[in-house]
Amino acid sequence: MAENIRIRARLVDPQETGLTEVRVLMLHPMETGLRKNEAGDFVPAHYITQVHVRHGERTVLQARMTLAVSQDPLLSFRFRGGRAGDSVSVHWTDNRGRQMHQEALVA
Amino acid sequence: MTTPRRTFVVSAAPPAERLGASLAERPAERLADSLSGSLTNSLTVVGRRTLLTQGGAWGALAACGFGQAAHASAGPELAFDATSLEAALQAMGGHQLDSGQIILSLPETVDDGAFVPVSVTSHLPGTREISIVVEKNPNPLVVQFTLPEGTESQVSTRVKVAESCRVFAVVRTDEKVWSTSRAVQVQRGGCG
Repeated sequence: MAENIRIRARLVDPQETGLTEVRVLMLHPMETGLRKNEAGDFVPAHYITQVHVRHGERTVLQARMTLAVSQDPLLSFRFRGGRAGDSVSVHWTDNRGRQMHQEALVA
Repeated sequence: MTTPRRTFVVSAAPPAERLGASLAERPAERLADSLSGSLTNSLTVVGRRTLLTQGGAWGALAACGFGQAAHASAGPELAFDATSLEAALQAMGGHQLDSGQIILSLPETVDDGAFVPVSVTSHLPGTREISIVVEKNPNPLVVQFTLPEGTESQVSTRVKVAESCRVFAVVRTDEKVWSTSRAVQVQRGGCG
């Protein structure tokens, strides 16, 4: 489970004041409920509903997702104020109430 | 990539939701749907998104010949539960056509509708929220990003597109809701 969330956070230009680019890959089936398995039965819907990305304690991105986000959701965005070594963390919740948390350091 | 290994599962308990309960709520949900154009915060229906969390929401309901029942507790819920482009946009507060300040990037043609890369950049001052809406998906509103102060108003992700249609970027600023759209041709739909 260790790699269920992959985070890459890096300073866009280390010489400048910290604009930090964050890329997040969350390994998740994002099942719509429409797909059938080999036995011909519908695979139940299973998808991430909420994502929080934090820089330290501060929320820098919040996403509400539906089952129409692609499998293994990928997000990328930028926030201001990051420094090398700062913590960037990702927390997701899915429609079954599972939650996952991962943290990385700004490079 | 820096990879501190701190992953843990906080909770594996599924929500205690029963299909029966959701079915019983449907009449109220339909009412909410019909009121969607004039929804105010005073309208609250208990159904919420429980139905969406039931297994097989898209498939089962699509097969039954009707879209997902809309059920509302507030504006955002209504927008997510909307089953038409118009209802979704209306639930998001109506929208102004964009004046060129929103850049929506996605391929013109994709083989596989299951993975359509979409990137939205807003140059509108005071951008608070960016949403991606796919016209012909059963629930057009796919994802909604909330951007706090200090976060650039640019997000990229990948979405499923059921069939060739328009994709909208909807941007909420401090003052208004704006949108822009682009068409995408899909060879193989992304709902399966």
